[in-house]
Amino acid sequence: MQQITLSKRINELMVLAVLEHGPAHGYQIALSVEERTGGTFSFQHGTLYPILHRLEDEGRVRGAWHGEGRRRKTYRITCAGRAELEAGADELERQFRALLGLLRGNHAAA
Amino acid sequence: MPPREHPLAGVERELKVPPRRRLDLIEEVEGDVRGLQAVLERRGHSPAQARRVALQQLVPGGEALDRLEARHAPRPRRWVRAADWLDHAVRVGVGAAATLAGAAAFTLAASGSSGVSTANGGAAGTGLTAVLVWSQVLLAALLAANLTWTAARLWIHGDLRPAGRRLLWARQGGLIVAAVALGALGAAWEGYQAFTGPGSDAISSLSAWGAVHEAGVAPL
Repeated sequence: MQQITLSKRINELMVLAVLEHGPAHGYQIALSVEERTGGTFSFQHGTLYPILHRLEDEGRVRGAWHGEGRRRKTYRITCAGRAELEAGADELERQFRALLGLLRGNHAAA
Repeated sequence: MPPREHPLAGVERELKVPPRRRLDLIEEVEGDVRGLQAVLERRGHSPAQARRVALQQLVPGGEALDRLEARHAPRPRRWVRAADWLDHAVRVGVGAAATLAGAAAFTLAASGSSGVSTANGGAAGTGLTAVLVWSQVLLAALLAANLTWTAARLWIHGDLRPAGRRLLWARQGGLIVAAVALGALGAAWEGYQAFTGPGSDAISSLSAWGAVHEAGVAPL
């Protein structure tokens, strides 16, 4: 897998987590992330689209256009995306436990 | 007061990806902006406020544009972006290659015609003919460079934007007009040499009439 930063990884997993609940437009994903994280995370200045397009290129989500004239794009998660979400959540949990253990001096947490 | 620019005009202008990709992205963002604006209005935002928030959240800015370009630009463009000095090298290379190609082709073509003029026109004629030939060489090189520049942009960016197209045709038109003018000047000079230079007696009006009679054409 290509090396990406932790923040990009978190962003990707947040998008996958939202899509796990059903297909959504880009703005619905952005809105849902903001609401479900209590405003801790939000996508600003269109940073959502490179993430969506990257996931789409890698086959973790599938985008489809709907409507005539003014088309709208909807994304849905794929099987590869679900597997990625599960593995990614486990990996993040392990990493954050280790990090918190270090920060709080509680080595047993790791 | 100047007219306000469309919020997605910056994306249209800045994003160097093939046109189909760019239009798809603009359509996607525009649809999402409308959707988010509608949701925010239902939640009590004023239309202006809802639109402002939706645009701020969804219209790609500098970083997002960079990442979209890195993902969707044609392969040569991504390769050039990865090594930024290559951009300059490509420009210089294109210019040099086109200039050399144009010069070489026209020097070969012109070597024959300058030989004829030397035989007919003497030193002054040779000087003027050489100026005309080398002007044509320069024009041909510029035409080749212009076309090569266009081909390189199409290859690297996958697109030729309206400004680029205008520049291409303005340059091409100007160069073609200059080439035609030079050609006409050269033809006029060759004609003048043929009628006034050494051996021009052979093209006297009498001999011309003789040729007409021999061909069996009845006089008027």
